[in-house]
Amino acid sequence: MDNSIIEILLVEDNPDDAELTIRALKKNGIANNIVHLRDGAEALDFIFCEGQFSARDRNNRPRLILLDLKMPKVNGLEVLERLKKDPHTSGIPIVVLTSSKEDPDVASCYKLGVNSYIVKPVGFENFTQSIAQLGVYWLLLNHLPENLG
Amino acid sequence: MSLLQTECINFPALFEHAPDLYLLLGVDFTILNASNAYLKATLTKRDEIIGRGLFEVFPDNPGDPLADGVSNLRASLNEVLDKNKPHKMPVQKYDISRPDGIFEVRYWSPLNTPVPGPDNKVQYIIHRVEDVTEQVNNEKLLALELQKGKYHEIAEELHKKDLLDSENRFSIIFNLCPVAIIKVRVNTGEIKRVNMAFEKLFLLDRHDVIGKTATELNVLSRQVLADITHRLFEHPADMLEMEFDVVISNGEKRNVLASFDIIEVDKQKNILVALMDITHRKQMEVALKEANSFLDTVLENIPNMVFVKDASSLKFLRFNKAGESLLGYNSEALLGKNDYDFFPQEQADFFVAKDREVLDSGKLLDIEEPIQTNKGERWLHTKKIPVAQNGNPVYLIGISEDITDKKRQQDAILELNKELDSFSYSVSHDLRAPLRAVTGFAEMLEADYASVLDEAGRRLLSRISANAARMGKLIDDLLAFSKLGRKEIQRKTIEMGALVSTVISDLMRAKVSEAKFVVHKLDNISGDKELMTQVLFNLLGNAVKYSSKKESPVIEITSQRSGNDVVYSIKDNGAGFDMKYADKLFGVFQRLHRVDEFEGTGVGLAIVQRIIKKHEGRVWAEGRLNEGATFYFSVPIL
Repeated sequence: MDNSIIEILLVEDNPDDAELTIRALKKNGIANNIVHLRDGAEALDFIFCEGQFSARDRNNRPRLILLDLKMPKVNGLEVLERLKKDPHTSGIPIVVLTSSKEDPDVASCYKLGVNSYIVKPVGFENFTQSIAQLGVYWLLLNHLPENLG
Repeated sequence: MSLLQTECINFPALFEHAPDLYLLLGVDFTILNASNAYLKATLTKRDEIIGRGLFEVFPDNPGDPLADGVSNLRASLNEVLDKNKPHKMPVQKYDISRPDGIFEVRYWSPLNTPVPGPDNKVQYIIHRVEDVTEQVNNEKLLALELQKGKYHEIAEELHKKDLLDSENRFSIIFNLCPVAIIKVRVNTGEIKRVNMAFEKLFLLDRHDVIGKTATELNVLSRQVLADITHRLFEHPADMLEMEFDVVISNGEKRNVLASFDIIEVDKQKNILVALMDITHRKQMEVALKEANSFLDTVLENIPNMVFVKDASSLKFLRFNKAGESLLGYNSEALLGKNDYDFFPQEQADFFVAKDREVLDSGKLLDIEEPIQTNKGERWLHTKKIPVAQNGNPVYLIGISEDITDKKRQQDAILELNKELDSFSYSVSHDLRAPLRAVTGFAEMLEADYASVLDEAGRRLLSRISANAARMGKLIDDLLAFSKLGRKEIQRKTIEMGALVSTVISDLMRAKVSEAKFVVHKLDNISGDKELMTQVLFNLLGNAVKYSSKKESPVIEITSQRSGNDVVYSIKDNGAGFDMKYADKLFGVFQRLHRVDEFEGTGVGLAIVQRIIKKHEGRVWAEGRLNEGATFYFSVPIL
């Protein structure tokens, strides 16, 4: 298993959305190493090095997690809760991706300690911009605590 | 002295010096002579009255509107003339004029006796009176005191003064007792004694009654007397009371409540019957019964359940037909039972707690409650009303309307709203994702492959992007519109002038426009600021949009009071509209222009209408094609 530095972990079940997101990140030259996982169960296995990812180094934590909320099996809220409760992973910045700001889950995310959220706009242009701003902030400006960095 | 010697006796002198009060009258009621005692008692002198008419000398007291001395005396004298028999008048008030012209109150007990002439016809009338003013006054005083219930004290008082022995004391009480009393000898049925109240009740004089039998006078019927006697001798220990009718001397009927007992006088058994006139009470009872039967009819036939509970036991005392059919029990099954006999413990506890609350507070309670009936659960809207007598709760009245159907409809609406919520949610999520893919990939295609597409291909691509974007906008607007339906408005005073300025500057920042705004002084209103901002944003946005193709667009905003409303108007000189489509302006997705003329989704005005309706206001518009439009909305002043 590749143990190189993971810049961004993208958890997104919709392959189109995933492709658009990855393209937007790459277009802005933000992420060199993006890992895409297709649902919450995969994400948890990856982070806690279980199942197919049991060989992975636990200490190789992603610098940023982009988390879709509506996913099959384990949804975004559950992933968020697990990660924020575990002291080992609670320091990883998590930004949730949602289709609507009316989503009642957004409020629940803040209660669970999410760092930010992005509404996936219909226009690709807007989306690219949002992703770019987000990447710059969380990867370049926002420094993680030393022991987690 | 022999009869022959009588002519030697000075009869006029005899008459004049008789110790009693005598008046000698001619048949035309001329005063022929009077005894000295009479003159003294009436404050008159013989030579002043002899030869004059009786009623000229003794007129009624003009100061007493009820004076009936003249008419009663005249009637008595006429009867004497008519029947040639003596006539005793009941005690009569007949005031006497003093020499100074002031009338003195006097009561008299008169007896008029005919004196026959040689032809046996009445030649003279002897009028004998007794001045009973003092007795009457005493009796009146006593009667007053007796009415206050001081029988015993008065008798004691009189006794102490040695004025009365026990027989007299009995007599006074007997006579003055406000209840009619008659004493009848058992073996003969002969009336031995009656009191004043009896005389008053039967309109009979005691002198005409005593010595006659009760049945002969029809004072007490044979049947009544038999009943009384039977009960007295068969059940001597009981409290003996009877109700029956009597016929008084003028033929009228009276309802009486009688109580009776046996007394022995001179070893003779007598029945003492006390008769209370309850005619009036009976009439009231009948009237009350009629009123009650009227109310009963109303109660039984109204469509709502009505029940009455006893305040202390909370047992049902009354149930109307609607109540029986609602609960599915008949009255007999309910009366005398309480809530625990019909309802589950928990529900009965609730009802009883509410009942107690109403009775303790003395205040009406208005509640909605589910109840378990014989026919399943029903929802009731119930008013519970305490009924107090003398400040103490005695009854609890309940009036219930069956609102089950209404409740079910409400629940159905709530359920629908929930479904609508989740529908909106999936619209926002699931419809957007493919849309995002369409726009995203179209843009990617344009970015990466624009160079290999010809002009026609690039145009098709841009049509795809534009329509996908428009669909996104439609979804957003539709969601905003449906969200409004469920939003509660939060009222506050809104500075409309300031709000309009803010909205205009936001609009101008977002759009390039030549429009000139003329804002007049605007009235403030009470409303939801966020929603009102939306209204202004949509209306002013429309005004800007539809006037954007004019050379010098002008938008004018005014307000004015109209009755209890403030009416705002937003007028532009833009594209306007044909009034025949005015009713389509405010419908959802209704548009009067093509997208290639003016962009839009047709939701903006529908949102405006929904918000204004929530403020209990009204929205309407006037316009002419190509000459501009004016949109009005009114909001009531609170």
